[in-house]
Amino acid sequence: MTTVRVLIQSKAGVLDPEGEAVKGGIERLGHEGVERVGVGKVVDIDFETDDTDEIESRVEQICDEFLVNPIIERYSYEILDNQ
Amino acid sequence: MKFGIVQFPGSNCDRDCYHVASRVLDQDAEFIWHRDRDLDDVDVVVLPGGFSYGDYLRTGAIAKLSPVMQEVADFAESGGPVVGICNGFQVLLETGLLPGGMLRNESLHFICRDVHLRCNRSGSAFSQTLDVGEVLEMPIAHAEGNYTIDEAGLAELRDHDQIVFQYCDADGGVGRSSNPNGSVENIAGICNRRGNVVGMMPHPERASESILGGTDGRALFESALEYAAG
Repeated sequence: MTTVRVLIQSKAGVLDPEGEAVKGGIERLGHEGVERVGVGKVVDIDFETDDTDEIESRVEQICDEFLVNPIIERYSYEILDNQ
Repeated sequence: MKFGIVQFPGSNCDRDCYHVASRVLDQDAEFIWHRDRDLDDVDVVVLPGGFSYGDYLRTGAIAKLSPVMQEVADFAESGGPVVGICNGFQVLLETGLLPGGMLRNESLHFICRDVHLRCNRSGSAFSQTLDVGEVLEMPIAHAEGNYTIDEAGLAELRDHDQIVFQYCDADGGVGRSSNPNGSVENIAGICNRRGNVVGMMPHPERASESILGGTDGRALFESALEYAAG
């Protein structure tokens, strides 16, 4: 089994009101000098296979067609070490 | 004429739409379950408001993979009128039947109040009987109605006259102060180039009888009827 962790975030320049709200909270906690906060999503997918090439191609299809809306979001992913 | 109202798990304006179609307009209406693969010869497809699939992932994102959506896409492709209200609009964006995306309201708040809308395009499936410049009043009720699209996409919407409704003041003035949610260019509703697919955030089904406080929404359902009649 192989676990893939997909990170989905707002595209640069797209309003991230949740990030803005969290930034306000961080500032109220007393932290100065925080330029930006981005809040995104984490999606973990466990694949039965360990074939990395196959997994990468499937993850990209899943992201492009479903998990990520390219109009407002961008993504990256990593294959986790399952040890 | 027969209205088909699609029900996803989490739809909650489906019965309101059914009521307007059957009781207010005295037309046939039926519910279409999201797993169905047959639209059963309906003349108008309505994607109602609500929280399909709990708004998980993104609003409308999981609904786009419901079996019925392929039928809805085929119906739209053949020129049939498809109207999406609130969550239904979000579903249309996610399926790609309409361009653009939806963000959280600029204020972060769920907003539920009456707004004014300016009709910017006549002749679409939801504005067939309206005049350009006509001002309507009906409620919005959403947390994610902040419509966004890139500059090129916005230019295309303008060039092809696809901006159907804009948030405005009571006199029809479109400006920052009449924008409830931060939506680009005060967009409240758009259509595809052909005009048979329309999505909008405000709720015409909640403003179709005077007992509910307003009747401006009724013209939109009548528009869908006229559009379907050709």
